[in-house]
Amino acid sequence: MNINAFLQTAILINILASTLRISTPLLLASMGELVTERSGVWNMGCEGTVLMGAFTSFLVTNKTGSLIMGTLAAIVAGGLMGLIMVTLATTLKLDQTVIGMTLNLFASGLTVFWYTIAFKVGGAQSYPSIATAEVVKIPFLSKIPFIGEVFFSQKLLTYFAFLLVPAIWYLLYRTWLGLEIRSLGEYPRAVDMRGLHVNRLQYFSVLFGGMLVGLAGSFLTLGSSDLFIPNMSAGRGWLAIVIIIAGNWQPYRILLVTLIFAFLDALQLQIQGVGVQFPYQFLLALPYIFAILVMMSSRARSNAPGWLSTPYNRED
Amino acid sequence: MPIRFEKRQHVGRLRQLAAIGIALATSLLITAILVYAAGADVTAAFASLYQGAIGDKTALINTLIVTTPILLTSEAAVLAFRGNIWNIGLEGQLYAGAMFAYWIYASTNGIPAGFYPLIIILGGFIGGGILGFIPGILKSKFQVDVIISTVMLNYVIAYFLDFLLGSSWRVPGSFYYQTALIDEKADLPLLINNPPLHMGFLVALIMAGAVYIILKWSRFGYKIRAIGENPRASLFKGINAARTITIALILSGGVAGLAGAIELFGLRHRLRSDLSPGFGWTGMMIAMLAGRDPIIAIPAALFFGALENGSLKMQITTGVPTSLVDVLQALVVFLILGSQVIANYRLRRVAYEH
Repeated sequence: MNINAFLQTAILINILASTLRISTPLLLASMGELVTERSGVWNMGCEGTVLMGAFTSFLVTNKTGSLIMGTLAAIVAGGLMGLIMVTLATTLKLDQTVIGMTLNLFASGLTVFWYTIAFKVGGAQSYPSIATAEVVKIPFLSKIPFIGEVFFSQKLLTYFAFLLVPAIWYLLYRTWLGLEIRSLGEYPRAVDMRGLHVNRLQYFSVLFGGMLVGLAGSFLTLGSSDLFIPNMSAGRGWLAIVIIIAGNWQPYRILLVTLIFAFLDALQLQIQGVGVQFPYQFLLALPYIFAILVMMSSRARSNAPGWLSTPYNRED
Repeated sequence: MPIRFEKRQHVGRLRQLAAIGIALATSLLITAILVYAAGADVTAAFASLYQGAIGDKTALINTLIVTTPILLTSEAAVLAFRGNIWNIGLEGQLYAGAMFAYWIYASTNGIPAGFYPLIIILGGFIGGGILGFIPGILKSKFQVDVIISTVMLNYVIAYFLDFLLGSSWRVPGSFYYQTALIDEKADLPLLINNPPLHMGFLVALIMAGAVYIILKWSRFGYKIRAIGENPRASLFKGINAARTITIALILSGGVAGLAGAIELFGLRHRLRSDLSPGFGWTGMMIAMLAGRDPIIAIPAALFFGALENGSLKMQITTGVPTSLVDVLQALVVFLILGSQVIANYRLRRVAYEH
């Protein structure tokens, strides 16, 4: 094997492994948001929930030194954000777009405030940091050339995110609970007439979804960066929403769209790293432009829940 | 006997006001707990917040200056939101306005100073309008969700500005990504000299009036309201929704662009990527708080502006970070919107059903 071919393989491995790494928060967030949306609630506070997850996991891991505690904190924080959302959306029937966006601003303000008081940052001292999660090499499988390096030398949460896709598919399409959730988003009156608890089911879905979105945030700090940076979610929550629409609310299509997005992002990172003479800002803008192009071409919304973002009133 | 929520037939004005009062008090209480958690003296923090916001003439004028961009973005939000057109690209449109106005300024050297206010206002409006037009076309021709396209464009325009600030617009020899200082003759004229208040606030008030008139009296405003209140009925009335939405987005983007141009030429005098600390998002919150009413948006914007301005003094004197105010603003929106729903209901003991 000559040196050139060796380098090319190394670059390819790097791009593909990064693709899986970048997919992780997007998959977790879009799976969480998918369950939420399938129950009829469009949680536009996804971006803020990712941010809250990133911050709380960073805070707790920094203070306790435990990655597990940090991960749990992100799940709890995500659940709490979901609780605010569902209380205002389901119980008070406020406009879901309005609450979701306010939730984003709430998270943006609260994380900066909390970060400032928890670490007394400002001035010249160094920024607080954490030890991020280690790569977990799967025994034997990670030894396989190429494939092992791409697929089986990842962080724990990455494996979890990819296993989550069939799990969510199973939940939604092969269990009673999933059927009830989907019916709720499609036509809540039917669920109500069956004597099922509309509100209870919606609370469950939005809380569960929020927890997964919070978990997505934890990967940004515990899984990638050892620092917390204000608004570090950088549109990932919004991308998750785009991915769901482009994936037509179906788990496996969502997985496919996520991989395409992540591959593009990994590619631009690689090009930046190599130092090609091209303004890096255009590379950074690429995923967002791509998102718009995806939306232009994916007009089929056949699987969008019928009652998405419409509150259900028994009296109507 | 069970207790049940029951919708009121009639909700009095007094009850609504009381609900707002309770909501405000609750948000202040939660904020006080946060201040306490930050380890600061709660009364001192609120006192300095008040002092910094409206304590003296300078504080008051500064509150008006801080209110200017958020009043403009809130009017931009009201204009679109009234038609349930969720333009959340106000932040990007604000930057587009500032960039376009700066571009015209930089490429028209040596014109008489009297033309500059016109350049700033027109440039800002056109720049923001262009960025509003893109999601409009994407919506009307390709069915792209306005929320998604406007959010994505926020990021795209931010990187584009970063590119310009790093290349052709960068002041030679500067370490920072920023333009040169804007020539003094192009500064926005002042309404009051001491302490200085630029004319932006007046422009914002005029825009509030304009949005009110457009929504209430114009045919176009009627179409926006029709689409917002009943899209199906508006279809039967023969309203061209695609066209109305596109125009609404251009106008909304234009007003947001004005905020950027005015902030740049009135206060900052130098274009950087931190021109707006989130004026677009704050404007949206104000619009929602004001129930998408262009006139109620004025006191709501003043309230938020006073909080933003006062928070600077609070940070200096008590060490409580200014981001506290962002939390308070979100709480106010949640609690006031929630309280209006709760005020519509009453608890009643009812006999068992069945």
